[in-house]
Amino acid sequence: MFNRKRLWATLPLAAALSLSACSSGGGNSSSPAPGESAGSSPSASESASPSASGNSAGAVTITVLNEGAVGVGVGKLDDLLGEKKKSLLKDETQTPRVKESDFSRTPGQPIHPGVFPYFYQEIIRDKLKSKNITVKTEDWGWGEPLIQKETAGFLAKNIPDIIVGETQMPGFALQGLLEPFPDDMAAEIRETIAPAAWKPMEVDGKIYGFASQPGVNSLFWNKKLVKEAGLDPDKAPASWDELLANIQKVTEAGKGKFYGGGVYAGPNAGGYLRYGPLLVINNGGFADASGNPAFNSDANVKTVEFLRSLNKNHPPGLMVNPQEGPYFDAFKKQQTAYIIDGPWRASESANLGIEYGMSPIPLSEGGAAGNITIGAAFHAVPKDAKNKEAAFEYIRAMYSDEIQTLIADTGVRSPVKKAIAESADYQAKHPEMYLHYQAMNGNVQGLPTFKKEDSKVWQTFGEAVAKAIMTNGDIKGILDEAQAKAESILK
Amino acid sequence: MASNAIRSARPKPKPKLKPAHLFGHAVLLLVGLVLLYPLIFMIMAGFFTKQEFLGSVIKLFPIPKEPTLENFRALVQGTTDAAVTTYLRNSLFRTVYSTAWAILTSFLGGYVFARLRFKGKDQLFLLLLATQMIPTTIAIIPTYLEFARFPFMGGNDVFTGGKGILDTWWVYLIGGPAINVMGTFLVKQSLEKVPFELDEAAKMDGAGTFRVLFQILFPLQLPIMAFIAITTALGTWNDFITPFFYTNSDALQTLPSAITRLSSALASPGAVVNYPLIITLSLGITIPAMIIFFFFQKYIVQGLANTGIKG
Repeated sequence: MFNRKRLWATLPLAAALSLSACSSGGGNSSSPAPGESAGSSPSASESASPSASGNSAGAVTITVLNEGAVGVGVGKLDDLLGEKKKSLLKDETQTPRVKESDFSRTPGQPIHPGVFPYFYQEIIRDKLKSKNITVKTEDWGWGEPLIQKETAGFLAKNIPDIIVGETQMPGFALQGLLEPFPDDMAAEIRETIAPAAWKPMEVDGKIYGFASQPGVNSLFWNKKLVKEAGLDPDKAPASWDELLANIQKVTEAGKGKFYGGGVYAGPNAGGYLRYGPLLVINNGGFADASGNPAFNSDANVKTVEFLRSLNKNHPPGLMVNPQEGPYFDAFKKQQTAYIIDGPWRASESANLGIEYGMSPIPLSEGGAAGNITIGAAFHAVPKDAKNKEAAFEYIRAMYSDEIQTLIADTGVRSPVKKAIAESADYQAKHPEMYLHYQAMNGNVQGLPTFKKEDSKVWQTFGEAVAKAIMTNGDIKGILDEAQAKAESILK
Repeated sequence: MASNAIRSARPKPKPKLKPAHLFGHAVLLLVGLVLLYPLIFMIMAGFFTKQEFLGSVIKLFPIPKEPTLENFRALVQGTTDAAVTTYLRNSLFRTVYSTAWAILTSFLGGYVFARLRFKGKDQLFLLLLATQMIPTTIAIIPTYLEFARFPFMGGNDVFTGGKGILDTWWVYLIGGPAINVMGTFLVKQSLEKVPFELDEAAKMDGAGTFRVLFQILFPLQLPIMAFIAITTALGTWNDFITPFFYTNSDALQTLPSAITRLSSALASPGAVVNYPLIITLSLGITIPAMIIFFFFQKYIVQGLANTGIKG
């Protein structure tokens, strides 16, 4: 009887094994069998050994996480580029359609934006191939799923050689999970690259990450609506006072059909990234020099007063809507005239047929140029990466002249290499993107990561700002309360 | 007798529609439309090109000026960017495998807890039930570590050194389905209502345990098995966590995880997102699940009724 029971107990296991044996061959002929990695090259943890990757002696395969803007697929770059070219030529949704001739390029000449990822990865592949390094890309998603997967990867010590991310990256650096850039490389970056590309990833004098084409916020406006308000659509407002006056005029002219707008200030990262530059410009900010919350400074109180004035020039509730989508939709639908946003607002507006103006964010009285990086895909080398030297070569390629010239030629983002962005040729060919480059200099910060309960501290501030904007309550009192709450969380 | 025949042949009078009924039906119709709206929107969005959708996304009922079947073609045939047919095949394989596994393990597990007597049975069953208290999201990182430390697999020297079973089919074969606790519980409840005499009578007629299990008891559990199959199939079909977190390779992705990856481009700086394709692929996930539910929903009720846990 006992043996029979044991027999029944082993039945599910036997069934599972037999099913698994069937499935390995049937499901997908291109898929690996159980026990094998699905990719054609080893995983992050295997890539340490050149022999494991099947390369010749000294050759290394590095695993790199994809960033959407330069992604060409998942796998080895050598295999992906041909496929990407075919798919681009077939892609009917590209406007204008990508032609064979778009794949031959002369540096310094404009290119079809659709082929940008292809050329980007081609340059990376060629530069690293010359150093006997092969690149394999992986896609771990973006936003919250990416953060969770990276956290799990750090814990399991199964992490790619290059990871990518946005707001989580300074936090990883603070926790000691990333490898600092070698001193010579850091010195070169400091000297030749705009601060927005590396400054937010600087911790205790060391650089831990780099973004080849970061975004910062600029002011955009709908020329048609501004003109309808009797304003000069080609003239950028020079100060906060002028900006507010213009916005009020547009709201009056709109008579409820369209509004002046301004900036999204919802209680979430989308809001902090957009109104953060106003805090920085007005000599305030989210945190002090030691990384502690500094919510209730006099400068911040004045900035929130300004935000409250802007709120009156929006459809009710829009400016602090917890969902950021409707705010940007309103600009796209030409219901609001002014908006502070990242550089993609330019190409999106052009796609939608909106005639737009663009300028650096105007300064407050006594304020100084400053900004918050937005849409910056910081690349970093984890402490547990198996091929650190090769990974740093990848980052060197990201700020090479070839890649930075390509970014300049595409015209959707501005390059970060001073020699290219500050050249007379670039300023003449891309005057608006040059404005964006200018905004990347000066006091450019990332969103800080607080030492404890980061999301709770942010929530405290976000909700306080939303409350101050939506009510007529005492702004100083509301921010004082938020500061006290944040301090108690951090105790 | 004759009058009875006449009475039965007489057409039944049509029920009169009272205003209250009409109002009730109108309300139900309206609620139905509201519930169906996301599906209608998804179908309409599927006919858009990427560019046109960008300008129309906020309209309540977006109607394309230049309709295209490109997205539906991509759903069926795949695109060069996204190997949809591979994702679809993987989804189907996972669903069939996990459903078969769930039926087998639930039945055998339920049998063990309902029929066999051994020390610590109740405690073991309670322990099994307790695992249901742990939310899936909390278990993601421990599970990731468990897979990464899987002994002697993926380059591991016992527990470390490699990647364990991460990014392999083993994630789906042994990690994904695991034990269906709910199924085990339902089968146990149901089998406890089947008299022992049935097993004994069969054994007296010469049936072995295998025959008792699969020829006597299993047919009696078919409604429960149908319920377990439907819920497991729906859960696996829609599951994005397992493929997304524990595999990386494109060849191992299923439809939900592939869509999550595509959608992640929404937040990825600078990328131009093909919303209509993502929405159409999501439709591809939704429709099979709806069909399964539509045709087999009566088994869900029947299955639960058999276990005595329906109210």
